[in-house]
Amino acid sequence: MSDGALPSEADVRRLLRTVLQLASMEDDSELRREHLDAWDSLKHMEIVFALEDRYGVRFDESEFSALDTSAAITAALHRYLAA
Amino acid sequence: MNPADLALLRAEWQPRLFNEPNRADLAAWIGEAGGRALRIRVHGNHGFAAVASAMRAYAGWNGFAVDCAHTGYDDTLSLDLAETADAELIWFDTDRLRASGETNVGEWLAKRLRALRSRTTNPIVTLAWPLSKAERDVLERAEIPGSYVADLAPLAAKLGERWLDRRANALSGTRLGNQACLGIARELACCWLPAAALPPRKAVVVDLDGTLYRGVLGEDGPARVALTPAHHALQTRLAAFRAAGILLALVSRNEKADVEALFAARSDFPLRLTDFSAIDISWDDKPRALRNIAERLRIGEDAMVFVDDNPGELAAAASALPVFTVHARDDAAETAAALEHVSGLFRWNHSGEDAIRAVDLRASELRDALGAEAVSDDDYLASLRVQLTVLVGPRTHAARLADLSAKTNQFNLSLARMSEADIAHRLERDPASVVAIRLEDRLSDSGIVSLIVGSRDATTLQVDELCVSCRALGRRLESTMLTAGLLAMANERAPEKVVFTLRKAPRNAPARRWLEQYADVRLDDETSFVEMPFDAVARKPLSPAIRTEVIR
Repeated sequence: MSDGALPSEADVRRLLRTVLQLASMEDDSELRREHLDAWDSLKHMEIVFALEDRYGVRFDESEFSALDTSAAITAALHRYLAA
Repeated sequence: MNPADLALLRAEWQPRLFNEPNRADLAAWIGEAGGRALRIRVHGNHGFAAVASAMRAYAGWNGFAVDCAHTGYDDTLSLDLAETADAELIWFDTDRLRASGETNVGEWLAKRLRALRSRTTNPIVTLAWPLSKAERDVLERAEIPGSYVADLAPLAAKLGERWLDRRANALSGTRLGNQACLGIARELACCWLPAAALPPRKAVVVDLDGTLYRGVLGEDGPARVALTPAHHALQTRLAAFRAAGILLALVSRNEKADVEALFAARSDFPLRLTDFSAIDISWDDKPRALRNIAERLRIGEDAMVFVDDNPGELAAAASALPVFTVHARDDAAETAAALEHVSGLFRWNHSGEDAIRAVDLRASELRDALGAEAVSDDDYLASLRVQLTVLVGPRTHAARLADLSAKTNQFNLSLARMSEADIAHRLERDPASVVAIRLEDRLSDSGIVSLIVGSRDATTLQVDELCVSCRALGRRLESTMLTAGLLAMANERAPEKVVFTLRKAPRNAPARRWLEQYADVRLDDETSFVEMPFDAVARKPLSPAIRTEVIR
């Protein structure tokens, strides 16, 4: 359901905060899996599916584990959406 | 969140939840479930987290929370019951079983379900895939009380290639795709689990303008309000609800004559005015109209679903009454999709009583008129030609009796809320411990309207559950009916005393008032049992105007 514009890292952070149910929606620092207890394997599954639903992409299985920071996710989305 | 805000939030969320679901949207659900969490124990052999996480929004929209206790992946279904739960969920990928060499999957599953049944009386919902028609038939034929097998095939057919996702296993531990898990979460939270473990809803109350058709009757006139294909489908679905025993009612701010003219003129409407068991057409506020409807249908306000196109009306209704609200959208397909997913409307089984409910309610208006004219109770009962049939050990009616135990609020002494498995277990142990009472008169067959569950020793008949359907109330029959039931339960071995188990609840005053009079006692809020000599029961006068038959 992409509207044509590439998502910014802020867009991705917003989605991550929603899925991870992090209290503050304002913080603009990069989100990293290794720093967040809430980002466990179950939440990682939700994040990947939520990204696919939101942006209409289909990640390759080999990339799942690399989608572990807001920056890496943004870069991957740009790659898929630009292709 | 107050009820009005929650009603508005539900209205806003309907399209997101019931059109193509999107996990990013579902994660943003912020409604709080006010009630207790329904705790389900998941016995499975593949990942359930992708379903569980999506259930939160669907259950929340329906006003409850779900708490899943996983017992770990287990291809043998060894059934770990260490944690407490309200319901059991079998979540099984049958191909894993086939891969291990099992050739008779239906029998194997039936055996495991029987084993689970023997260890708990919780309702059991089975989601097993793939499951052939023959395998489903084996499970149906097993007739395990309180056990329900969902059919996943329609969802799989609808999703086609998206049902499975070869990548998913690495993330979620199941080969079912994201959309499959979202679809299952929706059906499980909105339909399958509530139908097994929560009280049912009994009526759908609809507005007219902008709900059953597009347009405003008072402005457009009967001929020009538009029955779009989606509104036609919505009306057809409402008619199907009625056929399944869910009552329909109409509330509308209109002129009564205009509404009658509308239904007379529009033969293309699938619904007729006579399909509504109660109608309130006035310019009064809708909360008052809804209270009036609940009273006339003899049901609790929380057993009603109110559908209206005006969010303000929904908020006003929700803030005044515990009614569940659905927003009627301009695209009526969206209304129908939401209505389909209101917890408590889906039924696993349809009993004969479901089909006769609306007819019986209509007959009650005639009975009231007869009652007003009769000079005495016997005169009134004789005019109705009342027949009671007391069924002792009614094994084939366990599902209906569980339904009665779950639904009855006003005339229910202990609110034991016995499940089908509870009742089946009692019947198995001692058939005479369960008595059902069927009621007929010349106006209608009301079906099974009363349940008594007890246990006895040499001296005492202990009544653990005693309830009478609201449809049978107001006919001056309660004492005769229940005396006949207690005498049949005691049979020839009269005990010294009968002890009624009690629990005070917000709506069971009618049952408590009856017991005060019947046992000649005064109850206070803390009274948890009432004892009376069995002789006093045996001496209760039975109206000669009522024919009673006992079937063992």
